[in-house]
Amino acid sequence: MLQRYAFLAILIATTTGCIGHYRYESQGTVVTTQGQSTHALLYWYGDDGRLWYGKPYRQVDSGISMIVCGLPPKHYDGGGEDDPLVLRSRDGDQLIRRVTDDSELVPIAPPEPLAPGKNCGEVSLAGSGVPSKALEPGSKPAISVLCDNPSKPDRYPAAGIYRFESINRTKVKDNVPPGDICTATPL
Amino acid sequence: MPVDFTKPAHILAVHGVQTGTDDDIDSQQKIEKLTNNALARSHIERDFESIGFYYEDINDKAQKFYRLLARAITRGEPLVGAVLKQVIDLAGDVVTASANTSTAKKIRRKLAKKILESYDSGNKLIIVSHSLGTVYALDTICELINTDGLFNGDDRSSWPVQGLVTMGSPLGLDLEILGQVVFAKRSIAPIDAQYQVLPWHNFFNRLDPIVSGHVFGSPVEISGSRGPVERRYGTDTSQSQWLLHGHAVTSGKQWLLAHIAYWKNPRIGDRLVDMLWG
Repeated sequence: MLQRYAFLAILIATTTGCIGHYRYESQGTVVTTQGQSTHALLYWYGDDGRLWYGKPYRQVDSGISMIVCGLPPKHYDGGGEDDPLVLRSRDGDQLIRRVTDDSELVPIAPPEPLAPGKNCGEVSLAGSGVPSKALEPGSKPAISVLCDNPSKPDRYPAAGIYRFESINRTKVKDNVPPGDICTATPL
Repeated sequence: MPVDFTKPAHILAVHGVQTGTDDDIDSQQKIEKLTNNALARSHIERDFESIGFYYEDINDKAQKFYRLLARAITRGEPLVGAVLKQVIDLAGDVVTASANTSTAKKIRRKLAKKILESYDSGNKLIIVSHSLGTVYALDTICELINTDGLFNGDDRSSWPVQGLVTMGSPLGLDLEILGQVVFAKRSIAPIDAQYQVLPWHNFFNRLDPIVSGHVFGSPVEISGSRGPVERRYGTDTSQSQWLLHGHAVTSGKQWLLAHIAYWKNPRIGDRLVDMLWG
């Protein structure tokens, strides 16, 4: 057993680096399909600093998570390098809204059935869809939700555009999770 | 017995390269904690059971001859002996998997049996695998897809695995060492379904040497969420009713510490909750 720990200690000692690790957060409010407003938090992590051999290194998570009090988390995921973060459709989802050039939501009639993995909404800054690397501290993201699911009436959030507060960046040790979403002050 | 989606979900944890024995492995506890923390973070309660699949003892048994040999040649030099023992333990696991030895087949049979236990009891199952375990998980799922009576088209209740999560996977590596192809490209078994897809969420850290194949931990080139696994399997999965999502994640760690940090990433816990109950 002692030998195993010695072996691990050598490995750990040789991997000490100087990368800063950060948690990014942005608070907002979303509406459930039952019409109830609820506090929501977008969060993700990023590294910023230098690798052990001195080379500058910056990387943020390619997707972001949204947690809401009392409901399962949602995720906006990235695609290619500059592709916007997208909420992927699930089985049975249908597209019921689209976003106009003026960032307005308009209904789609009749709704368009979507295969799993398609675009059910995105993260935007000033009306344009963005990847996670564009979400800098101080900027105010918005998320759109464009789908519903007739077989899942409790699917949330309800279709809409939700604007979030300024992004905060906090230095953290390891992947420390955000604070309690249910006791956070609603905006 | 078909999957009864009202029953508690099962999460099967498949570990990666390990030293020690099955008793030293705590992947089941780690995934249970990760999931429970995610549920608590969102203040929701759901029933689930985390299950561990262990194969280190099978590997150790297969490596017994080499261990004895190492002990014999390092007699009188305990430090060298200890290091060599660890090297055999770690490297042996990789060789077993990449060369598709009879030991690898035995491990896949045992994993399939474990998966089918959940299926036979009607519980929805997702697999969370790490490192070398991702190779066994992918291969075993493909074998089950090719098994009569399972994965019957769009009838999701006939799917013994409802989703796959891979973390720190070497599946994207395209290496040849001493003439031996390490982690040859897998053949993705197509699911004969029209609408349903098998979600595969692949989490990777650019600094993880098992993902990049870079011994000294230099970052692997990616494009957004597309890393080595997505480059290698993106087309095959999309043609086979699989839905592969790549996720670049960060942990503030480098090299092998980046490789073991996935187990504590809250965003992976949130994803598991979303996959099972979202």
